Amino acid sequence: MKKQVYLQKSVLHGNQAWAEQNRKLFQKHSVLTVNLISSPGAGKTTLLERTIKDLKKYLRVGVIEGDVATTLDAEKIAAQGVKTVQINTHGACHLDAKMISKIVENIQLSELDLLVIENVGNLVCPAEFDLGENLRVALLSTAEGEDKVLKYPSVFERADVVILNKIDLLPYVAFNLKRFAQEIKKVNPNIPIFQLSAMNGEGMVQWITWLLNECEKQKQKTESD
Amino acid sequence: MHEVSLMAEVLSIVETVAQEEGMVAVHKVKLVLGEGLLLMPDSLQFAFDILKKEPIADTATLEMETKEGRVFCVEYIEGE
Repeated sequence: MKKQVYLQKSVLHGNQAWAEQNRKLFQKHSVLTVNLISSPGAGKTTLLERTIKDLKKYLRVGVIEGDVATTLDAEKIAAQGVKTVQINTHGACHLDAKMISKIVENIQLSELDLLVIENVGNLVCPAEFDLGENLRVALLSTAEGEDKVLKYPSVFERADVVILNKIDLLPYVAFNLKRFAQEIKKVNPNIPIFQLSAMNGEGMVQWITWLLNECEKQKQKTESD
Repeated sequence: MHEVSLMAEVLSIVETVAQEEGMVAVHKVKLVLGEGLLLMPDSLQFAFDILKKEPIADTATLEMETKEGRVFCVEYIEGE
């Protein structure tokens, strides 16, 4: 017999269920988890190296490195003396919550305060996949141009904080800071923005202070539960 | 860019629901596609044609409706 079945079922429901499970697990161990998203070459790894260097005397940090191939970034981060695990997606353009769920089995969450997930370098696909993170960081570099905010709005719309990297290059590139701030405001009105250079350290203090504060908030949240 | 993996998820939902409903064949799958997701209908169609398989979904056709926002869901399936 012919029939029509209405399901109205979200295709990403499966990923969402894994993400919620991850979030619960991070919360249980009071680990603040950050999902770091940018295009390739914006400076995710350099920012992470610098952030770890500045933070490791205050916090226990772990890193999940997502890349299509190689362990180059994981080696750089591991050289900072923090626990690092690598996911190679072998072609996939983003990380999903199930991959994270599988890999956290290899991480002692109780020994961490902060877990950073460096997503695959891509300004489109990672936006749609909740990994169970507490904070989503969208990173843009001055060399890419401020128009990327409007060209790739999803990443910026769904972020909790925006970082503009490579401000040391501002004298040499045609990046309009004023328009950048306006365009971020259009897609995500109340989002905090940090301007810094992960290379020379300018502006890092504000970012580090903010992140330490967020880790503290996460701890208090776990205690009050 | 990730249309193939999303379509694999769609077909897994379709097959599960069809089995639950006691269907032996699915004739049509209707998707609703949010513009905000920046997914390419042509790629989704391509992935659907390649991934649909026997015994339940191999002859199914795909209909897609584009809407505003970020919704991406299987609205209904038709079959017997």
